[in-house]
Amino acid sequence: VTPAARLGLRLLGAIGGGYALAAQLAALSGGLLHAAGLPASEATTLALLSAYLFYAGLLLWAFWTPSLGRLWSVVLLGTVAAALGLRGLA
Amino acid sequence: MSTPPRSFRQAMSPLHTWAGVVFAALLFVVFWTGTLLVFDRELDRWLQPSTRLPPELSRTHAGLDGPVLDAARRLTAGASSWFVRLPTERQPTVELSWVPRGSEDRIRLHLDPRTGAVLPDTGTAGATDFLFSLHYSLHIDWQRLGAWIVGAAGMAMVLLLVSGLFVHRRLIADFFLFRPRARLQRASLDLHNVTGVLLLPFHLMITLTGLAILINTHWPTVYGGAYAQATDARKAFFAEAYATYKRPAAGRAAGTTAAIDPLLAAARQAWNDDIGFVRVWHPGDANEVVEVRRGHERSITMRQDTLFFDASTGAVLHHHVSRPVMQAQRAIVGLHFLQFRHWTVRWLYFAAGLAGCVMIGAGLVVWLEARRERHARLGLPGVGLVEALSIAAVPGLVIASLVFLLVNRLLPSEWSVAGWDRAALEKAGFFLAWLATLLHAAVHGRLQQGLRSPAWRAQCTAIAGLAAGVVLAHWIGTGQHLLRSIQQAQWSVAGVDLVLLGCAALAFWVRRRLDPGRAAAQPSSQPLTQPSHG
Repeated sequence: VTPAARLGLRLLGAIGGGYALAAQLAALSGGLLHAAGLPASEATTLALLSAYLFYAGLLLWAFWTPSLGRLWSVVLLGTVAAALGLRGLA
Repeated sequence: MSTPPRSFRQAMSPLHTWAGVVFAALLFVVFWTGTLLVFDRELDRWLQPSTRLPPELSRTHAGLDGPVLDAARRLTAGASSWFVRLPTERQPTVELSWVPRGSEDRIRLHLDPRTGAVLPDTGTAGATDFLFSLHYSLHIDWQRLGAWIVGAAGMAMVLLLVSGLFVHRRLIADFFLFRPRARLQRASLDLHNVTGVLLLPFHLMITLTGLAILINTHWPTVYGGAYAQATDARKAFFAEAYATYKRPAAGRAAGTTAAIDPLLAAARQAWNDDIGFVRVWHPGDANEVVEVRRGHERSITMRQDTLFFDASTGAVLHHHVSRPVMQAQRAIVGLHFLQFRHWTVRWLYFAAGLAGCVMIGAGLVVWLEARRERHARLGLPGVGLVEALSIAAVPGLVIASLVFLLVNRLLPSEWSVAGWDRAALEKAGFFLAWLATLLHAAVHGRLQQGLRSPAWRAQCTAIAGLAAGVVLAHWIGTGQHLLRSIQQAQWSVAGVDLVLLGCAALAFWVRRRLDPGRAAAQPSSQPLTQPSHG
């Protein structure tokens, strides 16, 4: 893999993958908070606010972690796991 | 697929450099417009001389009944609803707006709170409209793309602030190190560090609270979490989160209408004497509703408390209060919108915003100066490209903003050219001037020689001249010079003039600092082999 391809994969994994995982984690926390008794609109507002923090944390981690393989497994598996978790909740 | 292990700091260094160079120009636009918007209402008074009424009207003429209500009912006749914003200290007019029957365009007028007279057309988009849209959406409304771009810049800013903490690791030492007379690169690095470190909490706060305003733009899939059963989760969220009271029209004329001022008095009592706006639904109908919204002057939290009154009896129909998390979100964004009344804090926001602009601009200069010689030697295009964009983004944007003010002062408010009214001409002036600064910077690079572009200096000269010229044009156009504004306690007008004069002086100083005689192509006697980032 050329350095340019590695850079492209890292940017895509961090920015695109990080966004997908952050959005999915936020949706999951919205569902969990609602299940825990918070009204749906309140759970959603809290989830929307946390989404930026999830994303910022994921971006920092994604630019730090040396292994591209780990980066991509975390964003892919994490997104799928969060989506499945949400489905299980519903 | 693994690389040798690296420290967090090593990883943050390229992130800081490259996120910085990619987003700095955009971030400067957002920070600069945001800084000006701290004084949006004051800029509006400066841009709209007809609205410069005494600030104490907000206390002496706080009601609606009488000439103002008569004028509002007369002007909006036939509309299905109308809206008034009550006078405040910073905007001492009654702002009336409505959508006429059979039209889609909202009409917005200012009334004199004493007489109900319509104030002459202001002929400007003003700060509250033009600069505001530029700040959060860059005037790109298509698919809310502008708000997405600004959001991306906001996320980049969060990363830049965190990574900056690690990159500039000698934080405390750097903080006390400021060598304004050193080589430009060193001085810029010091300036970047000092403004970055000193105001890190503000920069983080303002960036995160800004993002928190756009929650309903950036995360369209998150609604599905708590609204998994709804067919349209986003719609279901909006219906529940921003639910308000609605009562359909009865279809027959009202017998009597109660006075509005007692309703306002009741609302004032409930809300710590803070009312924002009044909206009248189905005017003249038996089911007319008077909606009164809480103001945002007396608390950081921009509460959405709303009272709905029956217009014929004055009875309370509904009292809406947001739920706790929504109130928390309104407190967070309240820190950003800065609608509360506190002059000291307002000036501190302005100063901190300017420091943010300096941090971004100085960061760009550090990037350029650290690479200039190498790029010239190797024939790389990076420095030339970034330099032209930086010049357009930093001094160029200041020039464009000043041209906006100058067009406002030079053209009469009722003027139009080829179907363009003055409000449109102001905007055209802004964007044409901005484009001109980019072309000027693109043409005047001294890349091959490894020299700093003379466009920096030329545009600083333009800023100094324009800022002084704008103050002069305002004096000639309105007859109101600085001393008279101060004498008449017109603080919004005097403040804008003073800041403009300060801007002229600062631009003049920077221009001298960039004197080619002082800094020209110094063959670096002590090359910075390893600039602290990049």
